[in-house]
Amino acid sequence: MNNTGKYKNIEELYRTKLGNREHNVPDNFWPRFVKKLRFREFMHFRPGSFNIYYLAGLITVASVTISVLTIKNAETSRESQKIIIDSDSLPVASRNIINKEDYNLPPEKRTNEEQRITSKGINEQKHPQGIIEDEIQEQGKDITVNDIAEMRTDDNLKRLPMDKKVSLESLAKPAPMANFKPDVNTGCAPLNVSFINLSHNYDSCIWEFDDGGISTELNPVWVYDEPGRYEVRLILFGENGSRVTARETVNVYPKPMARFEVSEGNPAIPDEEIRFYNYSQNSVAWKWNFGDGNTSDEFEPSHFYKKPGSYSVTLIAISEQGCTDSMVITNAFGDNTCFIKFPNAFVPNEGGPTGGYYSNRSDQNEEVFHPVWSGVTSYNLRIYSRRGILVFETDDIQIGWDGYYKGQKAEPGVYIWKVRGMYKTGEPFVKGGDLTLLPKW
Amino acid sequence: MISDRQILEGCLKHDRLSQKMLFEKYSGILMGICVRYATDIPEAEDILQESLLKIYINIKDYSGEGSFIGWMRRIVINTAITYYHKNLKHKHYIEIEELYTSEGGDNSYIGSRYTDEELQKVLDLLPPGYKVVFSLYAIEGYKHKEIAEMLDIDVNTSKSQYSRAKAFLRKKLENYK
Repeated sequence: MNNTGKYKNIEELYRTKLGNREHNVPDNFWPRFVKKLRFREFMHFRPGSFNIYYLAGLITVASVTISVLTIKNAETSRESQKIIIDSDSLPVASRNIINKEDYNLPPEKRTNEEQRITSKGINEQKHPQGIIEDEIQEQGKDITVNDIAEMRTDDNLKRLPMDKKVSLESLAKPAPMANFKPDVNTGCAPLNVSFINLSHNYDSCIWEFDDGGISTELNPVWVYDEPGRYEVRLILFGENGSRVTARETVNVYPKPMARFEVSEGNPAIPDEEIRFYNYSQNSVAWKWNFGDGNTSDEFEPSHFYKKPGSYSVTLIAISEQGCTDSMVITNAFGDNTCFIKFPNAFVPNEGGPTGGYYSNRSDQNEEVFHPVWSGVTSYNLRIYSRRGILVFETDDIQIGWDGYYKGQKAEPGVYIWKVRGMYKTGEPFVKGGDLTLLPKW
Repeated sequence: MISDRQILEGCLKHDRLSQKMLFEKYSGILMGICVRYATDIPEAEDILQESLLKIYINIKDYSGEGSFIGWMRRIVINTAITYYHKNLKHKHYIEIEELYTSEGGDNSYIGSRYTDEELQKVLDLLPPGYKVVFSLYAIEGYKHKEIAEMLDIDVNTSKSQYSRAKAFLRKKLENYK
């Protein structure tokens, strides 16, 4: 800002006036804010601010961890107990079979074997399965296939740590299957593509649209602004970190550009050829609409208009792939709404002749008799008194009558005006009427 | 009067009194920035609150280079833009109708004709996107390239929104004459 308080432009005005403007902050803002701040500061741990709350938090976390660990331990021991029970029950099952099939075995041996199997169930947990199987085969006559299977499962469960068990389960789940479909594979830029995800068995997905964009939505919608060939990828993430990718191609065609110019010409003049210059790019076909009901498919057509008027010319450019762009020039030959109107009364200035200059906006007091007009190219205005004396004449539409005749104020009363001329459309006009010169009160 | 230096040192220790003093000294001017980017006063208060939280928590990151108020300003503007992005989907996007203004002529303004409130009121009439672009460019002095990056829009969008916003403001200000 300079000394006069005048600003060069709107930017300077705003920068200076609002740049450092203070805005009222409500009174209750600070108390509300301090509460939030206290919480945020608490969450934002700093070594210097170690206090009773952090200590309490630490103790809580520690105690929760300990209790969780204890419960886990308890569960593990219970599980091993269960296994012992299981292996205890095994010989009971085999005992039945033994009783049925090997009734000739001496009871001592049977018990021995029972014990061996039982102990194997627990003691040989760490042995590779093969060894156990061999041993079982050694005494195969005593144990049915069912029992072996049972034992094996038990052994497996016992030998495998917890997390292995989980992966065993997930392996059983079907693998992710990636598949998707865009609603359109080809189209004109900007191309709006909706993708439909047809995948199965996955946790999360990422879409890569190949133009730098990504999305994690289930069924995203993507707009390709630039033409090109895009390889869209859908990457699926399965439960155990597996990745599967599906691909689809989307082809975005370039958009043509419709551009044209109209030759200087006046459609009002009969037989005047109007030429249209085509500057369109990336196009192979064109559709013109001249605004008077006529059309053309030529590259650069010319056209003859039948009558004057305001015409809007439209060009649609079509590319090889059928993409379109259009351009419209409204009122291609200028605004052809032509008119001229006169008032029927005015009050001349008391202070003497003004010369009759007027402006459509400034002449608020109606001190000059003049028309309101548009599109007038030639003009002649004459004003007669009632006795037929020519009191005013002009060929300049910018000048009206100031109410003075030969330097003297004209008499108040009724006068006759007559105007002839031509609009820019080439249409002539002749009008006449009366006007009342009013005295100033 | 306690200097910025002392307030800053207090705030570094998270001393509540220093924080209060900082608030009293600067909240008005920071709120002034917020209202330029928010659609209404409650949103401006939200932005101010979030910005102040960032300022107080991260005060140790202020390097001491450049002015302290400039550092706070940047935080407020960045927060406001984050808010703008977040709320963009909820806000109805309005296009300003094409405004044709005759360039050239006398574009100067007599400052005393408008009060600050009037200027703010006219600014508030702009649709959210235009208001943000205008404020960033005209008041904060960012370049169109920077604005485009901040708002994640095209440079040309920034330019065209800016010129439309300007034409809009110019027209509205004329009504105040």
